Amino acid sequence: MKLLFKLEWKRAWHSRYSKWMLIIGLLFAVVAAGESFRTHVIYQLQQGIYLIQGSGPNSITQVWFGMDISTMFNALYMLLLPILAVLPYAPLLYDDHASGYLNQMLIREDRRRYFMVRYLVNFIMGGIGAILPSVVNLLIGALYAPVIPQIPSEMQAPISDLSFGAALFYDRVVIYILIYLVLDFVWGGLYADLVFVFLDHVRNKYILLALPFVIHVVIYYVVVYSQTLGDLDMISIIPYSFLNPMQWEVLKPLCVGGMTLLVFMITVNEAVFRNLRRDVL
Amino acid sequence: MKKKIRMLAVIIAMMLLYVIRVAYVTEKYKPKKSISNSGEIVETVNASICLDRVELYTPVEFFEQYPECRDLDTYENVMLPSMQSVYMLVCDISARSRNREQGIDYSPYVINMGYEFFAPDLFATNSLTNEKDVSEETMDEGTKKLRLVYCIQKGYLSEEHFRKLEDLELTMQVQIYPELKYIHIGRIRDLSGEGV
Repeated sequence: MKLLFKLEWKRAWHSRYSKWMLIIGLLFAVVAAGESFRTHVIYQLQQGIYLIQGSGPNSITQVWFGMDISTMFNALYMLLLPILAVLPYAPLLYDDHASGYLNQMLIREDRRRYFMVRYLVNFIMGGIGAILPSVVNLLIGALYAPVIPQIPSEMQAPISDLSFGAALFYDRVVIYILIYLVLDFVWGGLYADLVFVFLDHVRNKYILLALPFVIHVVIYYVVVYSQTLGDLDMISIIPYSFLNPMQWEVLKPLCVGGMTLLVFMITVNEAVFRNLRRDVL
Repeated sequence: MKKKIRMLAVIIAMMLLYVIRVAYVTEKYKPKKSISNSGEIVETVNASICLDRVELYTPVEFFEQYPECRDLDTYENVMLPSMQSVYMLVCDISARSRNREQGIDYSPYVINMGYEFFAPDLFATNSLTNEKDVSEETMDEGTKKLRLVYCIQKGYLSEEHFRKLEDLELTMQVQIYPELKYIHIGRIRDLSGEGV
């Protein structure tokens, strides 16, 4: 299995799709960092209000697009997360299916092992694709914004005592950020693995890649604009809401855990177990 | 082989430079913090502040103690409808301006609540305050006595913290960035079963 994993991993990184992932992810991160620098430093310098008495420096959480409320990149990132996740490896899955490479590999390798390796590689590449812009943006932001928690009395953050991890945010901000990076990594992987659900039924590569994004957006709009679902407090279970470090809706660990488990079970079943019994793929 | 070693050396050097830069920026802009005890005089940028007294009331007790506050619109409109989910924290402070000609132009404005183990400065209350001068006469020129009333509303605190207010360490922030100064109030009285 180790050799199989290495083979698929090399294929993933040498494909043109992973290069697209790197280009788009880095571009997103750099543009967001530039806009944040312009907003938080250059504009304030021009206005003469940068670091004056009483005005604390912009902490890392204010310049990182994960928590920056002054630019559009947080909303854009939350919207495009499924697309960033499916970019690196999911197209290869379709190509293998369409070209017959999959059948060739199944003759040579154990079915269960091969499907599991595909699932795993897709999960990891999807996670990397999802968090790459976030991590790079954070690293760029740390060059000019101190890595300190925000000062609570300045009321610049949407995190209050009612939010999840408020104590961490105002005391150990790095751990708070890491929690959300891990969550985004996991859900990036799950979004990438959602492709397995539709792989046998969709004959167009671009529609296949767009489907996780469509599901992501449709669930958001259905839950947010539905009176019934809103009354049942279903907003906590939609990824658009709980993946955002700004916590416009307070994160509920049980809801997040439940959703993660559910999607994981569906994708594993579709990717691995359903295909074990089939003769023709 | 040499090429690989050279590349590795360049990467390590760049990472070191990055770490040095991040550490420099963080250390340079990190705020200084100091905490004083109540009763001590705290020197801020433009005033000397002393926290004289802190009391916590349920709304019924508060209006009995300070009937003059019934006239304030804010309390009539906000407090009375939600009397079961509110506590009133009253702080008496003395503030003396450094610049006696200008008078007091700075006063504490927020109470911070902190947990014992994690976040000493967590902002957990709303900052609904109403300054009410308690004395028209000043002890000497430039000194003013202020009574600050903080409304601790249930909707702004988690259920757990609201029920166990006595377990929280309170601090009052009296100076802002770059040198944060706090007055430690400590634990307030046992509130279990009262007004909730």
